[in-house]
Amino acid sequence: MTPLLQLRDVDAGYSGTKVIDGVSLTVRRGEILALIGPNGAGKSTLSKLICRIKKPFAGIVELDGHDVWRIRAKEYARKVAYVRQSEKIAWPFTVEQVVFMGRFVHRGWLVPYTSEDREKVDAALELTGLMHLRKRTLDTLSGGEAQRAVLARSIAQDPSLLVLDEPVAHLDIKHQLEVLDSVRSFAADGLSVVVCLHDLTLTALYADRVALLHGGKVQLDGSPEKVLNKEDLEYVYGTPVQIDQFPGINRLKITAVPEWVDKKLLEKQQ
Amino acid sequence: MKYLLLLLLLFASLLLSLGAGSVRFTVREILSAISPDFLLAQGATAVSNTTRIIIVDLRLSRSVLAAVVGAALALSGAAFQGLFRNPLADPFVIGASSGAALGAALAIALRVVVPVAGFSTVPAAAFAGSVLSVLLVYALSTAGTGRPPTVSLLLAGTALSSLLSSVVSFIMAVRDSDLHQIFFWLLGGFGGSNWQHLVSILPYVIPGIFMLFLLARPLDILAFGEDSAQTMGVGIGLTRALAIAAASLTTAAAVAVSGIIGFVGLLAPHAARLVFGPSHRVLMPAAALIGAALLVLADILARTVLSPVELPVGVLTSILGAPFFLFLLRSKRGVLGGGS
Repeated sequence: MTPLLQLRDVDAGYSGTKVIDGVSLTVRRGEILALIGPNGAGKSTLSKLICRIKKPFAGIVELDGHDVWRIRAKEYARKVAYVRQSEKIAWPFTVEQVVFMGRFVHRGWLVPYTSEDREKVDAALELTGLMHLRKRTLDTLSGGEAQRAVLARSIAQDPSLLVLDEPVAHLDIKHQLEVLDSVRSFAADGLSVVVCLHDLTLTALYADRVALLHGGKVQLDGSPEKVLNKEDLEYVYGTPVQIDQFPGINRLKITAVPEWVDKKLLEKQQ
Repeated sequence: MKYLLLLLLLFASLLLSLGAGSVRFTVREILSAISPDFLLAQGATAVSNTTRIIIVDLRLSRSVLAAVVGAALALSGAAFQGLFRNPLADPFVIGASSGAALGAALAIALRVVVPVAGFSTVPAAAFAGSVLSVLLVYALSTAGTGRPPTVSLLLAGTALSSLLSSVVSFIMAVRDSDLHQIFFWLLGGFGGSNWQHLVSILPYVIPGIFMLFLLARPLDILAFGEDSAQTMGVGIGLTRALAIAAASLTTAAAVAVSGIIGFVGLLAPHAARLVFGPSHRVLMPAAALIGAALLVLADILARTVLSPVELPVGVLTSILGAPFFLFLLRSKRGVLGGGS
């Protein structure tokens, strides 16, 4: 079976500067793939390549075995939805209006929305826990609620692949978990998610597979247990890390350790 | 329900505009003057021919034109605000007015007499100037630089506008004899309008308005920015081209017959958004009604305040519009909003 999405030897960047350098990567059906790596490693650019916003200099991006640039933009939008890093909306639309925007790709300019659209919108509101806020305007919501509204919009789009560029940046810890729980419920229905994350513990908690990016290349790609190892993380991020396990369950906990703390820890051990 | 109130407002201002002026008429006289003959046979008071000419040929044509121009400017303003995600955008943001001004100034100064596209000379030149300048801005903004095209559109529009305005100022400086006429054209107004003016702009205004209504959903989605809108299935290039074409043709036609009337196109969409919310499907009809009523009312003031001297209506829309706009800004920060 062909993978849902595949990048092969992709180079990409901005006005001549290569940001993505020979990346090959697959996204399988029904998995949450986390893209991690330091700032500037190429996570955002990679997510834009997957969403068909950015065209590669070289190499190919395929959805279901078809070159994504041979698929029409509108057709592609029915299959792949994208939530940009810190989305801003220009006017105070209500949550419900925003989520209905996700149905546009299935109806176009003029066809009236049907009860099917209504159901999809309600399901997305339910999944993201926003039902009670659906009449509120986005500018009156907290950061986490607004982020979930945008997530609900992309879920209502009914895609097979959801691409999220740092969906939990700027959120407090509780809201981070709420957003990622919504993402996991989405993936539980057999759909795929690609998510750029900064938080390595959240990565370990929510990802099925992890790709560690470094200088525009995939340094390592595999299960969280394989990729989130001390040696590779310290090399790529250039800082000491400490890796523990949540007691009793098979999930890792990763903490960045400042040099001065690292020194003290070493002193104590000796 | 809210639409009904706006319709009533528009209807009331039209009625007022027919009655008010150097000669005043009662509602009864107005209704008899505008009713077709077969209704008059059933006992309504007939009015003199002069009355009918004043009401129907002078005032009604002028007020309906003001209403259509107000609606056109309001809709174009709404479309440009939506397209550029910018609360400060108005129908003239990409050069429609400065091109029109140059066209009109040239036609007046050079005394050109060539009617084009159903307009008489000055309106034709204004229309052509407006369309040409928008085309130029569009061509300049899509040719090169890595900037997103909407940002280059705004920048190119601003740059070309100030260039063309300087040329207009130059013409006014060197052609003393035409100074007055050009100046008054620039300030905008409906003095001397007739049914022919209305007929000549409808072929541009009606399809333009129709097209803008069709674009309601894509304009909504553009509130999230172009990259996001594209991943939601909006064809950005097509939407942008159609919105600019429709809004600019509509604006060019409006400007051709009325000069440069500021503030209506900025204010009406904001007022509509305040009451009806930002969804373009409901916002645009409301903005059109508000713009229409606003301009009819401003025109009544323009010809009655200092009667028999007629004030330029553009002066009145700014005098009335600016304080209202500042009030909105103070009281409803969030609603005027705008994103970056």
